[in-house]
Amino acid sequence: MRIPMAMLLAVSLLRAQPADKQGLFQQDPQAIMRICAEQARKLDPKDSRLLAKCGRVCLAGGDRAQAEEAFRLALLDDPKDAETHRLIALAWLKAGFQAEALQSFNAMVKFGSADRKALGKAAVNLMDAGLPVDAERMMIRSILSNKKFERTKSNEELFSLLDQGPSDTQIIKVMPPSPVPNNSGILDPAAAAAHGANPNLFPKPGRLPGPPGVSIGVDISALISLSLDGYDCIAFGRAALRAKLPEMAAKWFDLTVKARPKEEQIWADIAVAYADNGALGE
Amino acid sequence: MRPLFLMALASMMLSAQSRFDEAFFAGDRKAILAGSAEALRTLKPKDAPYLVRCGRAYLAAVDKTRAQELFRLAEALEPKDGKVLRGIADAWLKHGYKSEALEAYELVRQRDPGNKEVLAQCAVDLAEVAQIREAEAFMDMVALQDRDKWEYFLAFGKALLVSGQRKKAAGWFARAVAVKPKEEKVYAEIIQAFADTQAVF
Repeated sequence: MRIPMAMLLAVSLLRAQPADKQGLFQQDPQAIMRICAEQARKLDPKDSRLLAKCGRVCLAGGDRAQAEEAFRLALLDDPKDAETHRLIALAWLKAGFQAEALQSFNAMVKFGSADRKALGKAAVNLMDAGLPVDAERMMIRSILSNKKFERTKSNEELFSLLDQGPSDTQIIKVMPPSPVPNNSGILDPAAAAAHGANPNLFPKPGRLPGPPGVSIGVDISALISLSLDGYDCIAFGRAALRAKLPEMAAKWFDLTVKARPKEEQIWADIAVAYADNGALGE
Repeated sequence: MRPLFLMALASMMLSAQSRFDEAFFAGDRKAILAGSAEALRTLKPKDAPYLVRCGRAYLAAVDKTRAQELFRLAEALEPKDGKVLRGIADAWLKHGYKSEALEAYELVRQRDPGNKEVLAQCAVDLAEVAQIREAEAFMDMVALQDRDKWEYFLAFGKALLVSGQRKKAAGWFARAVAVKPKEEKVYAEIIQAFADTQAVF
């Protein structure tokens, strides 16, 4: 790429930076994050979401006590902000504290406002953490949080999932397909239990079987009776692709397309999701 | 008459929607890519940004010929739209076609040099794949036009972190802070950049 000489000269002058500021950002990453967190807190001490991010920095530095204090202050300031709860849960997840993370997600559901976007992002976070069943339940919750959706006979099973309450959320790992040949697509609970899986995971009698392969999650076809936005399902489908759960992605993309079959942006987003294999950043 | 015909065709295609069901999306990836691209093209046959997305899907399905055809169509429709040209370049880049990508990025620079947003996005695209010299050329163009675009400086710093260029990232983070020393969002974004690039975790 050819660049004129005058431009090169101008650029070299522009690139000269105050030495102290550049020096700050050449330190150890944890030190940078700590200093930035302190500075941000000085500028806006009561921003609950910022406090949650500062807590994440403390966890990164191995200072759990300080992190918990930051989280406590964050929730003191705004106990109903679902996004603050989610950021706290994410901080725990990223630092490897899965039980604490799930507790925070539970708190988000119990005490936070019904914030569809925050719940949808939480669903993606759970999927990225390798918790697809919890993720899907959160995604369903995100959709049903829209007050215009009424509970009817056709969607009763989905609403009742939410009635089970946050304390029933389990840490569930995805199990590989059963070694027992199974043409119906429903995992054989007995065979799966032999692999150490929780037999309660699997679809109860009366639920529709999933596609061939690993059957995870629930039948979401009842959601199509609702007037879905559709776009919030795309991010979840991407996350499922990222998690190498193509059947789950298929289920959610199918729902999205049924909700908005003539929406060009939906098709564009689905095409790119598959092109990228669900990679983050789109 | 022709628009009516195309609308009828689109309706027929989408009402053959029964093929775009859960089994389709759980099937062969190349078939999904091609099917989605065709559904999109049927809906928006003359929309350059969507043609670029179609092309990208075909590239991912390893159909370079069809992708090139769609990119040419898109470029012909909007030859000076930096966003369209950058979309083409990004598609080439993401699928490993370096020389095609660099040619396309050069077109952005030549044909839409005043579009700071797109130039900044080009810089980020190239930085993330460690094409640092080319990336800095784009970002320098942005900075020359507007020294106060701290959001772009932050995004570029993060992209440099992604490709392991910590020292260079430091320069751009410093620049962002110099522009807005009392904006807490700047510091929050820097924290996020380090957290997201796993530099800490």
